[in-house]
Amino acid sequence: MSIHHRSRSRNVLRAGVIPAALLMLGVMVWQGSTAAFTATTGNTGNTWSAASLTLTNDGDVGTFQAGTTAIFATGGTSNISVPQKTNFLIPGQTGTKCITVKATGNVPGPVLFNVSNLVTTPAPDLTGSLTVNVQYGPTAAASDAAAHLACDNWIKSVAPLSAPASATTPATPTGVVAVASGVLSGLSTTGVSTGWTTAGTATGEWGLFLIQWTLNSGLGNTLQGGGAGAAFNWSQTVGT
Amino acid sequence: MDGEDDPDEGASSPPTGFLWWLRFVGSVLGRFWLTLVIGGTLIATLPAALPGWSAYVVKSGSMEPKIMIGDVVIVQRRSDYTDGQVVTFHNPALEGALTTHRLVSIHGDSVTTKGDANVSDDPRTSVPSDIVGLGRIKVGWIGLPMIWLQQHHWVPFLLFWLSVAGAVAAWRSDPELIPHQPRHARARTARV
Repeated sequence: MSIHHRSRSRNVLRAGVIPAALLMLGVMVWQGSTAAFTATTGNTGNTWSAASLTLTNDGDVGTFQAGTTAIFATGGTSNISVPQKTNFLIPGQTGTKCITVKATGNVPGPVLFNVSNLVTTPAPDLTGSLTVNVQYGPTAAASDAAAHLACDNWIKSVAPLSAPASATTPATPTGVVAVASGVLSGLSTTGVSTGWTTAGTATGEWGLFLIQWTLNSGLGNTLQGGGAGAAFNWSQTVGT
Repeated sequence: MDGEDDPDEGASSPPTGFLWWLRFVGSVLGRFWLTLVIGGTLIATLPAALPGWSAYVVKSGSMEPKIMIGDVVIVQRRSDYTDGQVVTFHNPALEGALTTHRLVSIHGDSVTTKGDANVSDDPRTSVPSDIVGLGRIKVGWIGLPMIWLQQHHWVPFLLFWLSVAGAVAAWRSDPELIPHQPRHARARTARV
């Protein structure tokens, strides 16, 4: 009796599929093992992350933000007795505020200061007649509140009438550095040294900046009704 | 070929139509799948019988993408380890649990480890005696049915076993399968 013979090619397929599967399994295990263990020995898991530099300031109100509301503002109607309000200025008038800058980077670096966004309106332009004096005062304060209080106390020691009620003990920081001084239009719009180099403390370190303005005396009537404006900036750059 | 007409030889019928080929292809795929499952299981389990070797099913994704959940990691005990190696160790932060992570540093009695997928080092350092072994062999996916069983994911667990049963059935439905014959039947055939 003769039976149907299974085709040779189908038999090859039947016989070959098992070693093919085993070969595939072996390759998969080999590749998976080398990828997971061998090829990576000693030199994987390297990561790079850029250092961070973060500056915030409290705008003289004790709450730290990257950008804060102007410390000198022309709000209100008539307030000669409140020097922080800067409307209806008369020649010789002066005002003082203190901004606390907080650095929370993780690398050390110098802090620079500049002014920007000069406003020369309403005409006539006052930026050439408004003298601004910026000073840096180091502080060993270890908290936002302590640094803010030190700032207020500095105002009280320099300009008692301008000091906010929160100021308790007048005190001028030791090691005060003159950062910028002159008429507003003459202040640097690119960063100048403040004398403050941060240590790179992630939990924060603080610098005090006293800003005084004076509308120059001896001005003629031509400046009546004039205006001026500016932004104060602190910056920190490390590396090239 | 008169055998073609012999109903007794039905298991060895010649190619006839789509269904015949479907059964043939199915049987080949069934063999393939069974070989992968059985072979993978053997590769994942047999090395652990060697002295100093042990095998573990990975239950979390902290080493992804290199080691995924359900992979089997086979480790070998060593006398010393170096930074960067993947090791399985008794995790001091997880009582009674073993963890497979990469060695960040091993200095004296302090072993710092980290999962590749984790941002930071493991919260607690280990000691060298905590280390069970160095990762040597990884068998992907083969431990997934065990994970599904432990985590009560019954649908994939049942689908897996259905696929195994289906592969056996497909293999046995080979239209040219040579049936197993009892001894007396073969003797009768021989007589003819």
